[in-house]
Amino acid sequence: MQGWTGKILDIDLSSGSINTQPLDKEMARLYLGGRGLGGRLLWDLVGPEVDPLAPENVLIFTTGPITATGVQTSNRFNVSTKSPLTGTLLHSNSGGWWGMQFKRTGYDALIVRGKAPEPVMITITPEEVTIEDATHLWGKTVFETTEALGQDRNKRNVLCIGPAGENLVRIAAIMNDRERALARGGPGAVMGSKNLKAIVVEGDAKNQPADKDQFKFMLYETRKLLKASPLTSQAFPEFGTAVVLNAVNEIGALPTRNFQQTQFEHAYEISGESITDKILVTNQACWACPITCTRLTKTSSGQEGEGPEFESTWAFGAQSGIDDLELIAEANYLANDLGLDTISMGNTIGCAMELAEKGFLPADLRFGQAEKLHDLIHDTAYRRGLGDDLAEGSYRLAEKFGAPQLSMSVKKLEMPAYDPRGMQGQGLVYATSNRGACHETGNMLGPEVLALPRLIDRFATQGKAGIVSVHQDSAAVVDSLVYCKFVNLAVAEEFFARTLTAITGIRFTADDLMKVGERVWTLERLYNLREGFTAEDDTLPDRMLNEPVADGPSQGFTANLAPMLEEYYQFRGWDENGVPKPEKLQELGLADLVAVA
Amino acid sequence: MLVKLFGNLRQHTGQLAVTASGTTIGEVLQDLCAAYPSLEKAIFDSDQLQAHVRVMVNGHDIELAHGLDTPVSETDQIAVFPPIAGG
Amino acid sequence: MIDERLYEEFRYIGRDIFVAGLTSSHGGNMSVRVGDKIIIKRRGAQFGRLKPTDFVITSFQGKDSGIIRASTELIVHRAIYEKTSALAIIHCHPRTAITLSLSRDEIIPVDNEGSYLLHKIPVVSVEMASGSIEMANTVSEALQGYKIIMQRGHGCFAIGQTLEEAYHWVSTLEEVSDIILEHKLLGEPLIEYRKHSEAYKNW
Repeated sequence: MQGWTGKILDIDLSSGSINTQPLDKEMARLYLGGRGLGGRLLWDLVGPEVDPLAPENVLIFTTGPITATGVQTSNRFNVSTKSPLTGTLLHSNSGGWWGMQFKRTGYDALIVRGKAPEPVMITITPEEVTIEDATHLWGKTVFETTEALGQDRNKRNVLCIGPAGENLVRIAAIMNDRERALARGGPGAVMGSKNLKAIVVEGDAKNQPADKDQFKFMLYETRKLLKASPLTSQAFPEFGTAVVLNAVNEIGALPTRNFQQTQFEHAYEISGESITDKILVTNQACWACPITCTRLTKTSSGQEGEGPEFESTWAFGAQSGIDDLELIAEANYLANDLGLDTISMGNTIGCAMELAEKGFLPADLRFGQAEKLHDLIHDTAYRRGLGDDLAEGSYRLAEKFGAPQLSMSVKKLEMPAYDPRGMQGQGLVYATSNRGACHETGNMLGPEVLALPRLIDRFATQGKAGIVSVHQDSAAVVDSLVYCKFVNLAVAEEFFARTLTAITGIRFTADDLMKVGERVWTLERLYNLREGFTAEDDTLPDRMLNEPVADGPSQGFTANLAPMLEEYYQFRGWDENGVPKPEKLQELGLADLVAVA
Repeated sequence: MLVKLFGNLRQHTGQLAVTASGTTIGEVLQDLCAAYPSLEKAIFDSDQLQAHVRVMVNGHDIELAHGLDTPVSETDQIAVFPPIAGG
Repeated sequence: MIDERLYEEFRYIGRDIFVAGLTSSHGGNMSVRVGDKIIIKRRGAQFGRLKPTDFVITSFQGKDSGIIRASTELIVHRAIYEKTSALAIIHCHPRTAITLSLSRDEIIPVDNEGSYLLHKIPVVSVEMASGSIEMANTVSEALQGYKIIMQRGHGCFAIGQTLEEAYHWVSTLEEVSDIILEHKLLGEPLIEYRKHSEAYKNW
């Protein structure tokens, strides 16, 4: 294979049928793989009439043309589906080894349809694909399942759900390689609704580049650049992703106690530095990655595992007013073991705390109650007591108890660890992200805080729309090739293009890739419009728009969304209702999609 | 005034926060480097700050103010970050 | 009137470019894209002495009164914004790079910085070398694959997310070119210190 295997595995759990369909070459050229291919297939397969937890929804696991080639970070993969939390198109991606191993079985993608009559698991090798009974595994946690199914690093890899997915918790994750997560938007619940417990992969096919010499050259150049960047060669390996926590707090953009404040007085105690000082055992890398950002940690009670990452530390920490690093780490291990999105879980806990403190929620719950984290997470996964409400996510929780304005979310996806009032561009990213409030789809952390590639004024609004759009398109490319975004911190699209050319033998320029990114972004937008979302949904919580920050460096600011949004629609070639204009659709080759809809 | 040093800069001073004095950021950092000589090589490239070293005064990046000439007073909070990034 | 911070950026970059000898008094132009508009230096303004009134705001496509005062090469800028994801463009006349462009189809760095950042700078040739449609197409298509290119005998076009980024490529290109020229003048054999540098010409 040279980039693509050309084969898509198609499994219908209702009938038990297993088929292979060819990957259309033109589709591969226009969408590449990963998030792009997943989105394009989802457009055909799942329309507005489908409930996300019904058998008619699908799970589409996709790799990209670079997967398993050995180029840096070529281990990542994507899942596309309709989200049970937001109702939007959902794309979610993860690292580790599973994506690489799946590619080695000889397929570019896996479509899972229908619902099995009893709990099942799927096993995929190059020789055969089987659906087997998994009732003995149903109820087991992620760690138990992963071990029981023979997880073996480079050789045999397990992807599964935990009790949260089984119980259709709307913020449930799909986990792979024990502690890697496809988490945002609740894909775990979709997998649970299909009675699918696990997918095991074991392969041996090689993804060989078409031009070996050019490929070797690009590998060398990429390695050179990753080494030259102190971020990827020092900061990440030494302090992990939470190394950014102190910086975000310093500028007054670290959401604290459900976004009531923008600085946390105990930020240092839960930062990357403190993780390294207090609980780090060693660092670890995903397959074919030199950056080595993963934390392997251990607490004084003897619990150990991966993480916590920046977002997880924030979610169980500042968002919940908690400064106990060990309990935060243990909350993270538990969330992984039960199969939950840590960002949504922590954000929802913070929301519940504010609802309780303000008298909306009759529960003995206050900010800072670290000792309650364990039970809250546990009860969410098992839908027990208050956990049954937390399992619905922060928006439905807050709405049920009469204060929907206290849910810090957009399109019902919980906001992550950046307060838009301290970073205007990030606010625009949250408001326009196709899967709901998400930072990964266009993170402005680089330009607005870290001077990557250049520092821009985080309080300014003019001109933000262009940079946000370019970042969004760029992230879509990374998610479709499937690289890790951290490579993109040191290595630009022009490198990706030349590497892809070397692998596939087809010439791609940096601009070709950016066009793919724009196409993917716009397709996702069309999908959501078809679902009934409108420009009114491109917004931020009332607190962000109307409550000025009380103190700190961002004092007095609110999120000045309206002018940025207007400029954004113009920049993207959409009309004032946020609908892509016909010329833009023509330009991107999407006109025929809309004609049919 | 108080200067906080993050990431791997802490190893040069042995602690997170130290005191230093000066009327501009440039003076404060020079004062710091005089007290902790190994710090100089970590943050300076001759008389300029190294690329990606961020310095903030009360949470505002000096690059958007007056760089090393940014004036500071006794009550200001200064933070120095080595090259970092996150997700 | 344009945003003050944006004006400051135009002004100091314009000054730096002129003082560095990368353009003549009135030559070259710069622009940024904001929303669906382009902000570009007006025709006849001095690169090194830009005033707030030296800028024209014109629409992305189509005709409006802005084009009357805009730079001669507005058509090229528009084409670049249409065909690439550039948010800023700098066009100027770096002398050594122009000199090299007269006798080669690509400029390949021998210095370390240039090797890392640019690898190769292609040289394109256009008959009507100022403000023609042919130029707009040739230059914009070349910039789909590179962040800075040379137009033979004319000058460079550089793109970026910000003016500063584009300026970085311009400054690096002239450094690359100066070192190539001086190496040639020395006439001594190159001691190769880089790995895989023979692959740069295929960049």
